[in-house]
Amino acid sequence: MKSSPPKFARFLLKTCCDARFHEEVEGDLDELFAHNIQMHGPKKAAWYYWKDVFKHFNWYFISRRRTKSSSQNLIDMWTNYLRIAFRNIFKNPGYSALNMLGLGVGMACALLILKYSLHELGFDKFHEKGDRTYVVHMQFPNEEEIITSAPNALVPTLIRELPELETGVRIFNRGSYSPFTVKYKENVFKENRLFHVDSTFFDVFSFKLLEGDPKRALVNPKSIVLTEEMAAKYFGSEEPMGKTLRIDNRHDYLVTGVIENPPSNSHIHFDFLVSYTSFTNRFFLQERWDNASYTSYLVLNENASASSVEAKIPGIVKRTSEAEEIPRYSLNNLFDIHLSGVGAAFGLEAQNEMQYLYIFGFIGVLILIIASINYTNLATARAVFRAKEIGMRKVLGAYRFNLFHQFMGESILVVFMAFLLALLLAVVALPSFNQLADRQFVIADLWQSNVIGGIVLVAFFVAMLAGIYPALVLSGFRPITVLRGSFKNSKSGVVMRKLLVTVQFVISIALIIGTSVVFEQLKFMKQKELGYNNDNMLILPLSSSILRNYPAFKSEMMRESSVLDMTLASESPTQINAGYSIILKDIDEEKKVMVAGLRADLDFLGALQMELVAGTFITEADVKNIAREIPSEDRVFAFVLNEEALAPFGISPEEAIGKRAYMNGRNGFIRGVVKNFHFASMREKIRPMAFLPERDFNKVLIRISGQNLENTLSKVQERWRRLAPNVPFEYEFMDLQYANLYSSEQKLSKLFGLFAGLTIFISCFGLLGLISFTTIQRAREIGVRKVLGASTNTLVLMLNKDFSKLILVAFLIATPLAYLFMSNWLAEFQYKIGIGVTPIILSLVGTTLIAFLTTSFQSFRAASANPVDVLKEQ
Amino acid sequence: MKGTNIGEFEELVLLVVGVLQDDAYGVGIKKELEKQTGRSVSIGAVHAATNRLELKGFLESHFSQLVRERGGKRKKCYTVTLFGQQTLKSAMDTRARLWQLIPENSFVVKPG
Repeated sequence: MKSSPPKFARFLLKTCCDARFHEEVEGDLDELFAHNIQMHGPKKAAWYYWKDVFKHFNWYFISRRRTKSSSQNLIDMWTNYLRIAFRNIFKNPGYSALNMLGLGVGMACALLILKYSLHELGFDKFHEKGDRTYVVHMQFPNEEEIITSAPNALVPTLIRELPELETGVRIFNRGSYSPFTVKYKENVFKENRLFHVDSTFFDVFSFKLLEGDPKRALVNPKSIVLTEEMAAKYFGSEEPMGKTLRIDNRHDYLVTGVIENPPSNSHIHFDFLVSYTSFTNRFFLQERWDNASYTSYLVLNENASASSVEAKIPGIVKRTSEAEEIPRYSLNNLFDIHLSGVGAAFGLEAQNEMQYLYIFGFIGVLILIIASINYTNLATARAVFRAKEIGMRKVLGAYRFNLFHQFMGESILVVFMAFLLALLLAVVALPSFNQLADRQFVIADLWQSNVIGGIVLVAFFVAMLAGIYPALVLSGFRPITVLRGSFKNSKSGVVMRKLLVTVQFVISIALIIGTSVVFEQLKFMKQKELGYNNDNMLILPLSSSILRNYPAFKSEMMRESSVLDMTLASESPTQINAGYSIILKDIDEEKKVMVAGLRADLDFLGALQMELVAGTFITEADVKNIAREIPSEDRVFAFVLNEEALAPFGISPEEAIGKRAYMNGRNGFIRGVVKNFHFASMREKIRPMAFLPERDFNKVLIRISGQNLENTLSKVQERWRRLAPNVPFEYEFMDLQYANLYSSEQKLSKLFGLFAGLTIFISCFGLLGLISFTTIQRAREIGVRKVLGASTNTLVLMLNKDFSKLILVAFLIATPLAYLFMSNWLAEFQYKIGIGVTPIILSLVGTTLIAFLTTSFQSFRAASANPVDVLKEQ
Repeated sequence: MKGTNIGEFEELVLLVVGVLQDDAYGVGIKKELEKQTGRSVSIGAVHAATNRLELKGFLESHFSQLVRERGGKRKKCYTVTLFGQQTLKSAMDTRARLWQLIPENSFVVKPG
């Protein structure tokens, strides 16, 4: 025959047609095809063939009619399959253990990742009105920065004017930059999660009030609602309702409610809620448009659309605010706050990024693939030992699909056992996972139906993925070849296994390269000169009592020899974010540059060891120029800018000195220019910033000597206690605070490290399994070689050579892949490393070494065996 | 009894199987049918008919010796069972009787 019928049509016929009719049908079709080729040519013939195949797709030929006896047989056969499967598992306990451990670790990872992802995706979903709750952001024209809060006039005005709004709430959070002192009897603590909220808080959010009336709790001035946790902290076993808490040593607040602790998947985490009416200052109570410190939420009616409300806002604001420049207000859905990087103005909460969820999920899938490959490889490698069984079953009448079912069943069994192991591993690993992911999951969280359901689905999928290839190969053995005599694995099987091992190592090597790049970048960011010295720098809260007698306080503190330096600032230099805009009228009348502002004491520069480029820092005289006694329009402000702030104006530091400057209502001039320093993460370019001369500070910065830190700290604390008994000694280290800016990178590096370790670990299981089968298969060859004079060393090398080649190939594939991915990742940083050869060489050497050690163990055993043992039979 | 009646196409297939004797397998039947009736017959239809006829007991089948040209597949050859022959005969008889009952001059076409 010159050409044969279309292969796929033939395959289709074979799979669909009942076995009893198959031979007749296919024979006839083939004959017709041969006939048609001569009559009409190959194209037409193929077309007729297809047509005929489809014409056979009717009930007669497709249905597999079962006789009654086969259903009885089915149970017996499956019992038999199960028995054989168990025997096989226990016959080779070592390999089975490798297999299951690999799969178990993989699925345990998947389980934890699944839990994590579901948790992250479920953020804020418990709010009943969440789908129509929006947080308002604003953005001034021509400015990049999005402000996640709004003026306090916005929410009440909009509710009055827009019928589409059901309700809304303002949240004011002073605590993060100047904590409250909360006191009940002898319990005094600094609290920074105390929010002022409108009485509508419980109309908007679905937090559960355990005691008190949600409608009334936050209506009256000086009402406070606290969480269970806080109730226990302050009142112990006492009943909190109706008691009073003293705040800032001034006002007594009546406890009107106890609220359930906000769940871990809430973007708002608070300890206390205080009624908005508690404000005494008119600045807060009046509806004003010249501020933006209120996180504002709006709840829309069921059928109102956010975009139409958004469109109506500018008109309303224009009418009521009378301001010339109106920011653009945008509505962002509550559900998006956590993952889309939208954010709400609660600096305390680390927002997650969808990107990290993708990375998590992607790595989970990779690990599952690697574990599945292990199973596939080991199962096909072991086929040699199962060949006779398969041949015998076929001779005794098993169809291919019976065997297919048998082997699929086996893989499901193994995966199921691995699944149980995975559950155990997940429970054991949960605490360390919590640390890694910065979450507080408990074991009960894993038993939720969606998690377990999901992981069962995953397990089923893994069983299919891992089992299908071995089942296809094993069920396809031809009885005559496997029963005739010695049976070796087919060439294509060996190639397939090598391919799969290569895939495993591609993944492992790529992850190792990724890990080292992340580590290097992290190291780079930590070691790069910041432009100031943050070693052993303590940051402490400042109270008005300290500020009143500050000179005396400072000199007292400085008498402690381990206190090297001390200064005051509005913020820690790692948290400068207040946004101002500066205009240099001498340079450009119009040009406005956004700057971050920091109010600092006169000795700030020295204490932080920053460098001045030109001019001087703010002086005593400058402070006098803005004293309270001077009428505000006569005050002259001295500003110190960083180099970056001058860049947009295109002037040199020397030129800048003395130039007139205008900054948010402050008239003044440039007193000095400091060298650029990193006050934000190195993801971002150093931003323009300015030092302001106002003496409105929130933080005390103390540099202590680094020797014998523990001892030093306790000495400093002792002195602090004596001098400022009302202010708790709650310090933070500035360098740690700075390092915290990289918490997500740190998380990523840990994650990468862990998963790279796991993948290489699981891959090595696979490798170990494979090499042990190879050595068994080649035992005789090794014996003969040995008899003929080969040394153990050459034999080990010979056996390892195969796998070394695979690793080399994997390396060649993985390197460009990893390079691509990691350059992409690094592109997010303004200050970054180049990917050098180090990580690449490191990964090559590391992987080769680990793989070599793994294989050498087995190959050495095989090579050092006494040839007599393997050769005596036969 | 259900199944003793046969359709027109089935009757033709049965007859062709009788005609072909040893060569009565799928393709053979198809070719002979096409030759005798002048209409094109699909192999699927033939297979459906032979299998149905076998199930009803009008046909018997056996596999032929191995043949080289059919890709090594054996031919499935059919023979008409005694029951099949009786059914064919009775169908023919019925028709003959009916023909005879037609009044002499009503048909232009005459039987025979």
